[in-house]
Amino acid sequence: MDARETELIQRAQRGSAEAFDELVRLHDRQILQMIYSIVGNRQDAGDVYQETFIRAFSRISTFRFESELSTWLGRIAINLALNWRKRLHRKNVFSLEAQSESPEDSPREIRAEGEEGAEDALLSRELSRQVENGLRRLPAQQRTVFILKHTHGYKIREIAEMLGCAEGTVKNQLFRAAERLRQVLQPYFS
Amino acid sequence: MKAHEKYRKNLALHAFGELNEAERAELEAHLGACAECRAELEQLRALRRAAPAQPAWEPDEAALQSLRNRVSREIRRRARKSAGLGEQLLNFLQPAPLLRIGLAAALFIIGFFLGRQGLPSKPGDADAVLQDLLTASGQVQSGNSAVNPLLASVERIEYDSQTGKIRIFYTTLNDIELRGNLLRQTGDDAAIRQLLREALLEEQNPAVRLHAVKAVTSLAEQNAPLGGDIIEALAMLLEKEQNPGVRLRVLRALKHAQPHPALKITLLRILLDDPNPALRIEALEALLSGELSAEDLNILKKVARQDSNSYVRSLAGQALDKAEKAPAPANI
Repeated sequence: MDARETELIQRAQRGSAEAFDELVRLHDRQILQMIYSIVGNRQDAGDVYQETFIRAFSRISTFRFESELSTWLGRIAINLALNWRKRLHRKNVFSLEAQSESPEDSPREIRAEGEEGAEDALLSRELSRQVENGLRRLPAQQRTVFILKHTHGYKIREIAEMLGCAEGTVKNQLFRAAERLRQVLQPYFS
Repeated sequence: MKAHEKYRKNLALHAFGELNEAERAELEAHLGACAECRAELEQLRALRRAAPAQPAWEPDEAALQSLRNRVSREIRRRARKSAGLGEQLLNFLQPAPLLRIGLAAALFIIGFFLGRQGLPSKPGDADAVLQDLLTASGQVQSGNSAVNPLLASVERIEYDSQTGKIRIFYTTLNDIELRGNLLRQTGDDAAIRQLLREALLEEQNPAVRLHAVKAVTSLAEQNAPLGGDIIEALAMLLEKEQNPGVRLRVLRALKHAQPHPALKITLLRILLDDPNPALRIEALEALLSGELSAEDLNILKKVARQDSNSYVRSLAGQALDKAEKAPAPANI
């Protein structure tokens, strides 16, 4: 954490909304993407984003500089996003498949077609589609751990801090997630 | 087999680069002797290549700014409440970013003014100045804006002990009035346009959106250029506005707007999907005011065949006839 961020946090802890605005600007893109990867649609991601930062502002005085602010914010965001998913599951209206962006919009796939032969590109696209479908079917915690690790590049230690659990638990969930996804791709490995 | 099971969990952690040096060395030794584990590791690596390496959504700056504004308004509301200010003050100001910029500018001027006074030689005068500034007993003019400051809290003090100059930055609860001319796009009037854009995207107050749309419509009817930022805001408003009356006004304003990619997509979507025929007609007319690509003409053919409204079908048919007589359409 650099000196500027430390100063902003200290000012926010004394109640400065302006300082908090700057902290939001520093971290919100990644937080929003993280929330989106859990809740699966933009409107709800926006609502959880708002709740995350409002809660963070009300609790910023409890931040003790023992972790990165991004990790601390991530923990609030993930808890809220997972709770949001639980609530919607209970109401039985949640459908990630219907609400997610079309895989055809993915820049990764467009790039794949440009770089590889047509057959390889097709296979690559099919594998990606299978992984994305597999990810949607994972239990929320396993999916969250996998995405935080693979897509957002967090360390196991940081993910454990965000989820409020032991590192061993995160390792187990990552292993289970990877194992289930590997099984999904099994037909393509032969 | 037993050894293989022992290493399976570490294979996944290895694929994610999460083993320490000793664990990695032990696993690599095992990999040298176990073809099954080597195959499994290769599959895990293939999985990582196939899994999304980038977040599924890259939000644009406008979307983020809109969310930031919501958060900013809410935390200020809460901060004011917790500061024990009267409930009636809560309705005064829910500043959008540009209003905050205006306020910051006003506060800078106030701070500068205070600093220029140096340490007051006559305490009574200084008290009077502060009293004016803090209790709204006098209006502060700054350029073409007017501010009635009401103290919320002091944010920062910069004091030079050598010269005795002091600058005090404080936040206020107040309304800011900004006057300008929409037909000009320079200086403060560019700021007016930016505020107008914010007003078009205002989420809480539909009356503000409506007045902003009326202003833009009048501007468009005078054939004044709307500017890309206003057109983008209108396109966004069309996507999220629920009130058909407001959407109709927006579409009428857009008939006079310059071509813009965001706009064309929105118009096509309304033309193809909106259940309200009045909106489809306006969208079609707005679309026809610009240049049509080959793809647009294909969509028009579909509309001319399938739209449930006879006037929409007829309008689309006329546009197609006209296009056939004109030179070949431009590609997108």
